[in-house]
Amino acid sequence: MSPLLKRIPRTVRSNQWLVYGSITLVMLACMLYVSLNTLIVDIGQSRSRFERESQIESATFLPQKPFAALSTFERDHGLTIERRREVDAALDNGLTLRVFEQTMRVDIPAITAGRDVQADDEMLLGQTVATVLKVPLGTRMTLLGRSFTVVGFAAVPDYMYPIRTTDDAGIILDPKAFGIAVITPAAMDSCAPEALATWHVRTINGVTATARQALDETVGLTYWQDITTNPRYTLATVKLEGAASVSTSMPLVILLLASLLLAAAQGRMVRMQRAQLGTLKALGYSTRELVLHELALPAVIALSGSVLGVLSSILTMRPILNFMVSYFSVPLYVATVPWRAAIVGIVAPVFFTVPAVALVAARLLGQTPVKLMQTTTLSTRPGLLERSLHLTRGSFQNRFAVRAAIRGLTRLTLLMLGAMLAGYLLLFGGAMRDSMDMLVRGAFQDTRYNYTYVLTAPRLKNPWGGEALTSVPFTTTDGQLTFQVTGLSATSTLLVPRDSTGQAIPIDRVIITRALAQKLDLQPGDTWTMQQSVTGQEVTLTVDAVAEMYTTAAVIMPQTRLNSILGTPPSSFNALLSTTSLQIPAQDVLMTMSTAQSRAAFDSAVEPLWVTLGSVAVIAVFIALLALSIVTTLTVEEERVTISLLKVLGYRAEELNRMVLGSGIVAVATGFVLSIPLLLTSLGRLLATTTSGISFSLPIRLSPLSILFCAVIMLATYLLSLRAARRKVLGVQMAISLKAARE
Amino acid sequence: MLIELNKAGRRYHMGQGEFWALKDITLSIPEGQLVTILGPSGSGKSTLLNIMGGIDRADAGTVRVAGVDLSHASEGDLTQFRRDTVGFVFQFFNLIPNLTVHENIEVTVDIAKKPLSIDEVLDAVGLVPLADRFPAELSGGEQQRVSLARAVVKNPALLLADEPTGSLDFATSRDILRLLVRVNEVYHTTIVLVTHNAAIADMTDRVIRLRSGEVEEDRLVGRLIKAEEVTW
Ligand SMILES: Nc1ncnc2c1ncn2[C@@H]1O[C@H](COP(=O)(O)OP(=O)(O)O)[C@@H](O)[C@H]1O
Ligand SMILES: [Mg+2]
Repeated sequence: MSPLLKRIPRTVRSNQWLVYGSITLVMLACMLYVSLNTLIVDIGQSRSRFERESQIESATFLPQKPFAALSTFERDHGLTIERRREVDAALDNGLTLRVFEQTMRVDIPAITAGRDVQADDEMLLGQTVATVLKVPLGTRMTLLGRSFTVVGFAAVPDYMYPIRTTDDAGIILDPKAFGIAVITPAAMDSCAPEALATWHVRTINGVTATARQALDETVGLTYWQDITTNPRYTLATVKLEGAASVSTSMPLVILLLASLLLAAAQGRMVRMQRAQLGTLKALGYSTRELVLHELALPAVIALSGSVLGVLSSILTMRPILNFMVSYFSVPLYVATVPWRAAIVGIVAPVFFTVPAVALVAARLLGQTPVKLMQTTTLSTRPGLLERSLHLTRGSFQNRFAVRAAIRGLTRLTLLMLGAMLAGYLLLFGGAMRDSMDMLVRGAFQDTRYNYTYVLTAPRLKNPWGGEALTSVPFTTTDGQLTFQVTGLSATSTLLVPRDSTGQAIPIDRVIITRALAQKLDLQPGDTWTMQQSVTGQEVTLTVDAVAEMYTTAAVIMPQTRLNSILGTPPSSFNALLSTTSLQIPAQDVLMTMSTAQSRAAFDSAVEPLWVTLGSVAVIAVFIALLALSIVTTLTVEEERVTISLLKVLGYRAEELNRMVLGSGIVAVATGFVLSIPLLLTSLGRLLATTTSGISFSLPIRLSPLSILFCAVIMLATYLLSLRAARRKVLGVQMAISLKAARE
Repeated sequence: MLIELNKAGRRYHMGQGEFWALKDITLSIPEGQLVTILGPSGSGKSTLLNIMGGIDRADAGTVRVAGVDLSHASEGDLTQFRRDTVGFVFQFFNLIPNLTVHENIEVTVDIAKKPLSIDEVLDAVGLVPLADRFPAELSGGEQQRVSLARAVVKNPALLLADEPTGSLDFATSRDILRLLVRVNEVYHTTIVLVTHNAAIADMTDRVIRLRSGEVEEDRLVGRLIKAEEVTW
């Protein structure tokens, strides 16, 4: 073994903070990258297997009359059709379970734990509910007045994103309040004979146009929804795909920045050893041998960091996947770290660091040994910029600080990069918070009603009270987006659309919500065509105003106008809004929603988001701390001789600290400020792709308060890293300047 | 001849103009000779020594050492030349700070063709008890002895010492000088010693005096005094 290799452990020991800090930085970046990739790949693969094995439907429909010969029809058109009954069972703990009967051919429940139902007193419980409420297998539950034993947990493909209703605030997932269950058809017969039956069709290639036509001709359709426009499916796929695009770009950028930071720090470590390298070259070592030696430490740091990162993501994989699965009801068929992500995670830091350091070392060693050994005279020679500045004004200490800053221009660039990385991560958390806040406020501030009743059929007389309105689902002509068109009476006081200035918009015109405007790229004055979901009737409207509502894509217009479009009497209505609970016979109500319930659902849906944002913020602070410390530590290392000399001359620690490290704050501030536009542009692009096709849009907001908050955290982090460096400044021995010339 | 310089020159760029730190140096040094290069500060002594040792290149003329044309040698040939032929002793020791005394010497042994035994050399310079110390734990004289041991251990044909006593007190300096003379006698190593102390010149075979980059005087001395008798 070459005696030169013995230097490595000793270098590690004398630069512990730098070395372990770098390893941790690489580890965190690597872990983030590998974990997010694992999440996306595993859940994505699980999802496609789930869709395949469960024979996911292509559409749901309601026929007007029964099938004369179902199996012949299926055979003739290459379709699989199955009828499924469902009924909601309210439990006393505020939980509502949508109970399905077991299906065998379409939307087959996937068993995620335990076994399938066999007896009529057995049930399957949705895995989201089971996870969140921690219900063990074997639990007895009373549903619909009968007792069932939970023998297994299940996921149903058309309830992949298990939400109660598919419009307005019902879109928010709340596993504590809503879930699914499966019982045998015989059990359904006996405890809910009146249950609503829906029909589910699976086509061979997933295309539904011809099937829809054939069904309409044969049995007549009163309801039709493609799975690709069903939020219970699309919200899962869109969120997963959105997450996929985040998880391939953002962590890769972070991994890259971390690797760059490591490469830069290690490159500077090499440069600090120029005198030693010159001596070794004079002794007869070749450039190649020395470059290889210099690569050992960076390679060890990069590799141990990335291996630790991959290992920790393997260790944390299970809990993270389980957490995700409690939101998307998908059986976890695949739970391994994808080898490609693991390889990228392990290789990327080495791949960036080693060549960068090799380049620095090779360029350095291209000089003659004499030049390399003249280290002190060379490195203190003022550079072009420094000489051209002619610093004569200001106190000596300030001039010194400016000089130090100019000399360390690349170092400051590095500091700025680190600050940008940290600022980006912090502000990401802030922007998510603000946007979510905006969404919640937008959703509930205009809501003066507490209950919404959707009736089974249009009515002309209202014996129950409340405010009557007409609400009908429409889709875009390409069928990509479904939204509600609401006809509101001009005197409505319970639902008041407002414009961006907070002014109420009179209901004598066509108003679209901000969410719809963003998705269809519409502005006041624009004309667009939409299609009624059930009948396919095409309607062309001109936008008169946009209401600031982000949670739901919808159109609001005068009730009489909507009724005339639909061909119903002017005073016809099919829904009621009310501040108090109304006494409507059960057979007349299709659906009841309470705002309080929606609000609670929203709050509990946002709760895990806080946890996620909190942990992102913690990681951000940690990365910031590391990046900033690495740079400040380097600064002190590089200015050792000067610091020592100034100490000999009698400078006090405070003065030295300010002179050597003072200029960093400018770089940190610049990096932070630059990260704001970087974040806003990248986030805008990201959210545009992730929320396309779903009925709400996420406003991008970054409030000054959040910026201030992030800036304070940044500053605190920087000051903390300065404290660590300060101790190093204080620790510099005066003898160094006296010995310096010799080294 | 071990060293042959023919009209060798070295030029530095100073701002706009250029300046010759060495001009038209022609000289030859046979094997086994102990030579002193004298001259005031800035006269080009170090530059000359560095060119002879292949750690710097001449810009004019030819430099041949041990049969190698240093002025035209490739980077690889220069490395090979330094590895096989030259040992350096620097004024500021240039030890590797995070290697022990023993390891600092190993660094050259590791790449030498026919090295001497480390223990033998450590013994000769009186460093056996300090073998496991780090450079920071040694005095200047001790560090210079390590530096000398590091140069000698590879048994080089040519030993170059640039003001080896420049940063030492005189008692310690005498030790180093005595060791240099012994190395010359025992191993027949050609030694070129740079100093600005004329008294040192008297203990060597020959004195080359530089002034402003030119040879002002080149004469044989014939070891008038012993190392112990050098004064400051
Ligand atoms: N890297 C350099 N760049 C410019 N001038 C140099 C450089 N190195 C040495 N010199 C100049 O060359 C001359 C000779 O230097 P040197 O050989 O070190 O002198 P000595 O060793 O005799 O004191 C001096 O005038 C010195 O200023
Ligand atoms: Mg000199």
